Order: sequence, then structure tokens, then C-alpha cells
Amino acid sequence: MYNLSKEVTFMSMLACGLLQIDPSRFNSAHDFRISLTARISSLAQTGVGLIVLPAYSVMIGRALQLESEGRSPCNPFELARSAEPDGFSEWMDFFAAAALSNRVYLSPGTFIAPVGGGFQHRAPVFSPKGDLIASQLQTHLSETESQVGMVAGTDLATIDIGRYRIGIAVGTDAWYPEVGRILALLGVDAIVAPTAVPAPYTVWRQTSGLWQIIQQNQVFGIEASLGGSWLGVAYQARSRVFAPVEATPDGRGVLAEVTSTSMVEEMTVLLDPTDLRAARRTFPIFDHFNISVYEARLIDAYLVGRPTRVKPEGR
Amino acid sequence: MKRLVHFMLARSSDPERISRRAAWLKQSDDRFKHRDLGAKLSPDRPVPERLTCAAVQMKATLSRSGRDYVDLVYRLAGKAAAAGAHIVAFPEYSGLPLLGMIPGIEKTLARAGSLDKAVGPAGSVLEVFRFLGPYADRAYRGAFSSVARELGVYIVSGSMVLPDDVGSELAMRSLGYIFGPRGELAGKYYKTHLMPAEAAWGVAPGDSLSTFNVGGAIVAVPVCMDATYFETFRIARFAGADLVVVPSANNEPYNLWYALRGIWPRIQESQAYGIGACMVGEFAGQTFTGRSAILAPLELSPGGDGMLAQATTYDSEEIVVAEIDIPLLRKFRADNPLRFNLPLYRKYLPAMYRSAQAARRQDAGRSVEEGDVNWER
Repeated sequence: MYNLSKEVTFMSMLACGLLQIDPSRFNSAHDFRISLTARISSLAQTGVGLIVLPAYSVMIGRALQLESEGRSPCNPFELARSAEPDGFSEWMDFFAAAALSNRVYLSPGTFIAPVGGGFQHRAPVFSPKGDLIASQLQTHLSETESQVGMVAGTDLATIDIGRYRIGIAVGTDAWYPEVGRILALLGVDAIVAPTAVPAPYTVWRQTSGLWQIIQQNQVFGIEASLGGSWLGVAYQARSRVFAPVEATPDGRGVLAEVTSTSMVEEMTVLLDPTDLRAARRTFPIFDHFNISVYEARLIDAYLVGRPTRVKPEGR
Repeated sequence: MKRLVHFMLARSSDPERISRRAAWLKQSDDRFKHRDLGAKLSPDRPVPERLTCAAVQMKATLSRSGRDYVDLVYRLAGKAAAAGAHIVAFPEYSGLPLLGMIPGIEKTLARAGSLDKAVGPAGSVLEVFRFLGPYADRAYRGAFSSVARELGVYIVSGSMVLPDDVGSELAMRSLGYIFGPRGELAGKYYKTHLMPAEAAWGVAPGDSLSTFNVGGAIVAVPVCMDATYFETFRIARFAGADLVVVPSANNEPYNLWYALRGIWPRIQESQAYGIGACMVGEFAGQTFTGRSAILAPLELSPGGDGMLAQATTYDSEEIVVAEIDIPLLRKFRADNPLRFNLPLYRKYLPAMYRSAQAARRQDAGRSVEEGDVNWER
């Protein structure tokens, strides 16, 4: 790991840390809490300004608590129902405290919340003061998610961290180019993607997700992946930080990655905006938008597509 | 002198001569002596469920005449047809060899090292294309039309910068044609997103993204840079495209990851088949690279890598051939439907494109002035 100075967030670069988690390694919620507290603190001490955890990380502790009570939910949706009425509030408080005590922005992964007869998939972000500053809903649903009644959000939030602006692609959103494009149009410098991709891992599946979104929008991408197994599903994590190919020495578009076979790992990376600017100068993608074609054709084109179920406005 | 050059170009690009040459090439081609090529695919026949597609990986060169050019097109398309192809796709700038019809250009280009240097500081690359345009266009159309007719295949011609007469406006655009197995014009398409060099030359971007019926498959043909933008493929997919052909000419050293930014992710996100046809080799001081391929969604490719077939080299002439199964693709789409969030898109698209483009330009300008020291929002 780099030994980073705390000031880097507030100068020209953003120092970012990722935790890759294997839920099957924890025997109890207490173990999970102790481990995460230590790992987040350890990362924060390297000077990172933002820490990102994989999808479902907000739910893991609650699942362990239920298991200790002899209740073992079969999937994240059942867990979300079983966790009622308090839901994951205890664990949200835990992550808020972790952000506050370590003075970092914390993206603690995601959780599924029962809403009405369905569900929402949310990615919260806490500020260094422990405040909940964003709670991004997943905006595109897989077939399975759609069948269980998940509803999608209709907004994409951005969060300013020092001079950086980040956006979040929740779950399946990392495979929909519309999400990355809208976030880039909103001016983000980095897209955070907490993911949980079932095994087996293939580089092609990952490349077709956040990697390609990063390439066509020339921003940074931070993908924190769940590893090991959880609620009966095996996950093959490969957490990575992406950049435009022009901004990486070997042209691969990967700034940092978990390279071992371990399902548990941390990494830190410095995101330098001058690298983005250089890439954009070399290959000015946004300069050559054909906006009149998009105005004439793009939105109408979606009218023939299959719609996703969305959250009613104002709720 | 100028009149003499025009006379030579008119003679060299004569479509009748080109057509007769193509017919002669076919008659003397032993590979097709006993094959009824026209019967393979016809607009009047039911669509075969499986279509054989070919990507021509073409080496950049110069042809001194329309006759030389039709020889080149026939040689390449003939290899694809002999391998059973129904649809043959050529790369971007497939018409570049026609620059060779200009007397003396071979020596000029060899000395200059680039198109820009060849025309000199007072010249204009676009003016060269404009001067040659009417002759290049008829030679280009003549060659591809007659070769498609002789081989009984659909040909996607790739592209060339040619005059485009739309209404009262005469613009120079990067465009191409689709010809059917009777030599008929089945479509005309445009590059809608330009490379910086093309924009600097004054090439006008296309303003339409059409789809075409190619042997029963619905086909779209975005050109090279167009595949950098997901928007082109979304529009094509919703217009019914099962197969997206991307002619390209990348003038950069080959790197797998740089190359992956084009057609490959677009095929994955749009659930279509793809043909990527690449220009390769040296031309006027530029090195073109790429590995032509027939692509499919990851789940429909045997290796799980999105490739049905791929060229083994990035700098040599090759013909890449693979079969696509349209009913299988439609079943895949039905089993794995993409679900779109129109309320989300309507909030941001297309309204934000202009402001975001302006913001990036402003930021780029500021970073140059400030030497990339500060990062103020």
C-alpha cells in the first residue's frame, strides 16, 4: 500500500482506498465489526480521503446477527425482509461512526431496503462528519431483480469531495452505459461501483462493465467487489481501479487491482486529474458528440425498449 | 493540363469498364465455375437462419485506376465468397486506394509522409478529396456494385470521404454503400462522429443513422469513431439492428485494450452481432492496425470472450469468416431483456450534452493555460 499524505485529497489528487470482503470468513457480527473497524482505520491511516466497500456490505453484519439467532435468510431480499423493522439502521450507524472517527468519506457498499411491496437497492455515502450525504438507488434492474419487485431510482446523485466530484453506479448500473454517460455529463471525475458478481470471474464480464464506461467517458472508475460466498452464492471478486487507457502505463486502463487469489484485500490508489485531462486532450471524445442526432433520435429510440419499474416521484 | 487530368480520371473511373472487368474476373475464376452464387442469398428468398459473415482486413495501398481497384476489391471479396460468405464487410477508408488515380500522387505521398504534408501548408486534404470526389465516387460504387453482383453477395463497402449531395448542400462526408447480390444499391450510411483530424480537414459529420435489410438481417453501419459512443448502438438496436458492421481504420500502434474501446463493448451492451473490418498497413506515413472480427454477446460466443472469429494478425491482410444465428440472438434477447429507465434519461438526455461538452472544453483550455497545476471546480 502507498503511504499517502492526508493533504492529497485537498490538493490536486484524490487518494482512494478499497476493501475487498469475503463474508464467509466471519463467525459472528462481532467479528465482522472488529475486522471492518480495523481495516477501515488501517486504510484511513495511509491518508486516503475516500474508502469504498463492495455491494451488500451494509447487510453482512445483520445477516450474521440473524444466523446467530438461528434464522438464515436464503438471499439478500429475504434478508431485507427478515431485518425489519429496524432494517440495517444499526449498521448504517456503525459506518457513519467509522467515517467520523477516521475522518474519511465512506461508501460502505449497498443494502436492499423493503419499500411497499417491493425493494430498493441503495448505496449510501457518509461524510467525514458522519453525515449521510447521499443514498443512490440502483437505476437499472436485472431480470431477477425485476421479478422480485425491485424498483429503480430516477435520479443520479453526485458528491463533491474536495475538488473532486464522484458518482455511484449501483449493481447492474455498471453494465448500462447510460449511467456512466449521465454521470460524466454531470461532471464527475470518478465513478464508484460497489459490485457483487457471481463466480466464475471472467475478465470479459468485468471489461464489459465499468471498464468500458470509463473508456467512453474518460473518468476514473473504482470497483469494489464482494468475494467468497454469501447467502449460498459464490462471488469471485476482482476489485479494480480503472482509468482511461491513455492514463495507464501499459495502456490496459487499470490503475490498481487485487492481483492475488485472496478474496480479502485492501488497496489504495492516487487519482490524478491531470491524467484525465491529458487523456481527454489526446482523444477528445466529448468534442465529437453528434448532439443533433441524439436530440432527434436518442430518447425516442427508448420508447420501443422494455421499461424498468421505477420509484414513483416524490417517494 | 487540368483538363487532361480530368479526362484521365474520367476514363479511369468509367463504371462500364469497371463492370466489364468484374465480369471478366468472375468468368476466369475457377473457384466459382460450378457454383450458383446468386442462389445463396436474394432479396426474393426466405432469409436463411444462419448467415455467414466476412470481415475483410485490407492492407492500405494505392490503385492507379478503377480497373486496378476492382481487381483489388474482387480479390478480397472473392476470398470471402469462396469461404461461403453471404455478407462481406470492408474497412473504413477502403476507397483510399483510389487516390492512386491522381497522376504522380504515389511519389508525392512517399516523399511527404502524410496526407497533410503532401498537400503542403497552403493546400487542403479536403480539396484533394473534393477534386477527386466525382471520379472516386463512381469508381468506388462501380467496383463494389459489380463485385457484389458477380459474387452474389451483399457487400458493405467500408467508407471513403466522398461528395454528398443532400438537397442544395454539397458536403464532403465519410460515407459508404451497401450493395446487394444483384449489384443493386441497398443502402448508404455515414460516419456521424469524426476523428479530430477529419474534423480539422473540414469533413462534415453525417446526420443520420439508418438501418438496412441485408439478406433479411437488419443491419446498421456506424463507422469507426461512431463505435466509441454507445448512443449510436442504442439508436441502431432500437431501430431493429441484429447485426452492426463497423468499418474502421485506426492509425495507432496495436494495443488490445485501446482496440477494445470500439465495437466490442458496444456489442455487449446492445446484444447484437457485429462485424469489425479493419484497415491495416502503411499509408502516407500512417500505420493502421486492428484485428478484424465477427463478434457476439459473451453468452453466444464459444470462448465466452465475445468473439466468433478474429484475425490472427493486426498488420496483415486477412479474411475473417463466421456464421451468425439470428433466431438464437433473438432468443437470447428474450431471455435476457435490457430494461430501460426512460424517466431517468429524460431528466438528463439529451439536454446535458451541450453544457457538458462546453465544460470539458473550458476545462481543457484552462488546464493548458495553468499548466495543469490547479484543479478548481
